[in-house]
Amino acid sequence: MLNPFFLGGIASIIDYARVKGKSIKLNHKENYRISSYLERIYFPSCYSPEKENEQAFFEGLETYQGKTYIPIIAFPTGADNYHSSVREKMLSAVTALLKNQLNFKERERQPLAYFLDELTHNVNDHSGADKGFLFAQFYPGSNYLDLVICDNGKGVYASYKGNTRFKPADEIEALRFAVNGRSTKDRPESKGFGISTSRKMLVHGLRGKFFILTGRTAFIETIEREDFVQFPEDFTFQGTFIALRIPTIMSDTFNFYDFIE
Amino acid sequence: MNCESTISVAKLLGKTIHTRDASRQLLDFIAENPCMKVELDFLDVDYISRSFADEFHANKIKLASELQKSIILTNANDEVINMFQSVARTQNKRFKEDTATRPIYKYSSWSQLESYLLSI
Repeated sequence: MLNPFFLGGIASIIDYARVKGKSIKLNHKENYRISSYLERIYFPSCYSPEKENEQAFFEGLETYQGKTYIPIIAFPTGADNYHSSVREKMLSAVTALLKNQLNFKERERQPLAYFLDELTHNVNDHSGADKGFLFAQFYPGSNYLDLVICDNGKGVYASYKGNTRFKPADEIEALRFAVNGRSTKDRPESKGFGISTSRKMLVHGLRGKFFILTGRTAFIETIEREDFVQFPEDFTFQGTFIALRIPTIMSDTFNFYDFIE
Repeated sequence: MNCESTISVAKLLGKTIHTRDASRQLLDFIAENPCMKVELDFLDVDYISRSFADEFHANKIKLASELQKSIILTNANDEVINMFQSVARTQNKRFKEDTATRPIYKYSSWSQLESYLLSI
């Protein structure tokens, strides 16, 4: 059994392998329900905007209004006007789409938009990858949304290379720095709160679950636990994989601005 | 130039603003504006991200001082104001680690790792 939770990550791995010239064959055609779902979410090819035909991408997203999921989106990175503008529009469209799917009010939209913004910015600013991946699946019966944002770039440890302020000794320390907000950017004010504020807001504000994996090291935070985990030696995730389990019923006492830094 | 100019942020960047790049675009626009007084009209802007607010807040002060411009924000809704205030409070916040004492679990076998992951 494969939880959709992992599909964004697997799409990222497949993309990386294909770019490296590997041929990947999927074997799921016997099961119509699975193959139909995978096709609808664009696994593993991913749904992405084509240059000079971006409108078709945004119109295509509209067709997911009545669904409980979005396609696996491969979004472009880059600081130039074109890529920034596509990402800006993509974030607006995805936030609006999920807000409608989840029947969220404005107050509930805030943390969702925050997670999407901060974690896609991390991919853009730190991964060194030419694209990031975004996927979400809503479970109405269980009242939570699984949101995955990942890339097949250089990973957290390598992103600290050249940083004069923070020099992690290994992958675990690098991940510890990242989840605590030590920026990989060499900025004097030491900003880099995307991951740390997202996990605090998700776990302590919304009582959700946070998972980040880079290379062989993962960090998991729930209301009950906060662990670093090192995977067996025969496994490594190229890049960074972040998965959030976001409860869709929010406590009345949750205040979004309590978690903004 | 001793004049006043108004920039509609919603027209320039849209009703929801997500990226740091959008802040750079807005600041470039202000820098190119010949007037010394620039009013940024946030009417119809429903949402700004923390990243946009953070980037804008830090660089607006720098730009205003360097170019001797007066930059005024108008018609911002509560959500936009709250976000600007939140990032302003934490501009010089220092790093504080809260996971230093957390355990590290190492697994050499997949079955052990699977048991751990299933327990979450």
